[in-house]
Amino acid sequence: MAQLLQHLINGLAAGTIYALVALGYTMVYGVLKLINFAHGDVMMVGVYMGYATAFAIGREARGSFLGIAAVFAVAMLGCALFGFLIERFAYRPLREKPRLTALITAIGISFALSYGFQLDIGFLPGASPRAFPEIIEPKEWLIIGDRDVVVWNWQVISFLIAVGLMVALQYLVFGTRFGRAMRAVSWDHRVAALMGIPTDRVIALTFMLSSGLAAGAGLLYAIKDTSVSPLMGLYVGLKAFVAAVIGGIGHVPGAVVGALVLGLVEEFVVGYAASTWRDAVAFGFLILVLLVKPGGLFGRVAAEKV
Amino acid sequence: MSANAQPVAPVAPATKSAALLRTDGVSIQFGGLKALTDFRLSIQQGDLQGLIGPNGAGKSTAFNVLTGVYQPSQGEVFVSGTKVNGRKPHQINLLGVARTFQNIRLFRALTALDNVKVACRAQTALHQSRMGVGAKLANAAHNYADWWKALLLTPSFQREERRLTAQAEHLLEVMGLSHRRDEEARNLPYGEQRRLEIARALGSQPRVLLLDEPAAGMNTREKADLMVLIRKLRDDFKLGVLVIEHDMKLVMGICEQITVLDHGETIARGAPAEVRSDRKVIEAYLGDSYLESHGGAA
Repeated sequence: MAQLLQHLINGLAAGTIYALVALGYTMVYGVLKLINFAHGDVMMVGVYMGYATAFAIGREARGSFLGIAAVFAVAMLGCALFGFLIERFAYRPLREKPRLTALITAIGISFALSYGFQLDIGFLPGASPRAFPEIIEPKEWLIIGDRDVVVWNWQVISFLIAVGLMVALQYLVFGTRFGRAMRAVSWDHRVAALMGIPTDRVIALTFMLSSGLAAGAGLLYAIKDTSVSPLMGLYVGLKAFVAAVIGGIGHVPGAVVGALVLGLVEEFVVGYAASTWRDAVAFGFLILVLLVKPGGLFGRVAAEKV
Repeated sequence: MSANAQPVAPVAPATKSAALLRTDGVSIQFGGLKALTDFRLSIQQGDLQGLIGPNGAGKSTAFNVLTGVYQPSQGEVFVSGTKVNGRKPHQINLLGVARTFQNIRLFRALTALDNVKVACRAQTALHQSRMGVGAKLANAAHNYADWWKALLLTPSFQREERRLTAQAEHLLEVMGLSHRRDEEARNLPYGEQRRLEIARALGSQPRVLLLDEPAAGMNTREKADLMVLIRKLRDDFKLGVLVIEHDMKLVMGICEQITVLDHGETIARGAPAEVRSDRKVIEAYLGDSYLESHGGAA
């Protein structure tokens, strides 16, 4: 019983992190109908920005509230800017081209980033994984019984940050002018433009938002994993993409549910079967969901507009 | 209803001479096909004009040129005296041109209120629409600041949000849709969806309203109501209106001037009575059946 509770907690902690990344996939898909395969790698770049910031502010400042805030702020804002640049110079010129063109470009950017960051020139970090500095010093937050269940402080903080960001996003999408414009563009960008919505700007902001969220998620992942590597984006990105598809890509709450389910499934596999089975079960689960509901849990199979 | 919720009148009334929307010899070509040739049009405040012609005559192309979806191959388009060739659709909408669609194109998953709010303008944006072309750069910077405000939830943003809601609610009321406020657009009956499209178009505070077959799919009773409504909107919102319509009775009934297109060329223009008796129009559009039923109007 205690073991089950422990796995539930770990699964939820992992799921909320996946959720933040999955939201990025789903929002960009919503406005552009583009699977942004570079999303995970943009996240990785954000994590390295946070990594550099953590070192720049020094060991003493790292554990403080301000230190953590600075790491997150630099990583998220920097990554938002990075996402903006990618959209502006890689995707926007291809806007009127067939959708496949942008998709291949996304894959190209993904590889350029994940392998480019393995170079060892200039500011690039090189291929080997590095220990991520302890910006949150690990402490037990809650112990039940004789260490039957242990909840760590970073799990709680990570959970709070993730949930906070999701609530903020929910408000942004459903309560503000920008969110309304985003939903309108997602429904029909041509009509949206005719109603005075600057569609290019909405799309650019969507990229910034999803990249910023990804950087936040990446940092939480790096804290959990205590390491950072140029290939982490491929791995986390793929899992988050699976989560978004499980939930129904383009569906905002669906991405969160999909991610939580995936996090729990993975954790239970690791806990009760073998950790080597984790990825196989995760992808097997995706196949199962798509067999029963081809549009994902919340998605609709849309008839192609004629 | 508070005073600032009244979205009705444009800030500066247009001078009588300046046309709100004017085209000068506009032609558009798709490959070898001339979709529109030497198209001329001038709409002033208070105008209620019609655009008719058989299928494929270029009516929809004309709407697409007027709203910036297509760029003219030749000729110029002016909105309130500003040349808009090369401008994007959302910029032209900001200058005061809004439209509805023949096949209803609402944001179907959004509520009726949100559909209208999407189009509603921030006051800052409205001021920009009165600005000259010269201030373009400052304009762009301002626009960015404006959108960031929405992200940062400042008090001024909250005020703005309340103002937009009030504005949209007012438009729903005008169109008799208040009871549908929180329903998703796709769940509205057909006639109400058409009215919601007009409400949405009015949300962007246009000076010229382009209606693309507003009576399509309506019964006689609804058409009669629509005629009254279009006149009322023109007067209350101080608009110039251009209507594409197949229903002759409706067009002849409300339009003061009618332009007839055939194969992209303007074959006639004038008051309903003139157009109705024009030989070319009868041949091209109204057809033999019309001649028979009216005993040869020519």
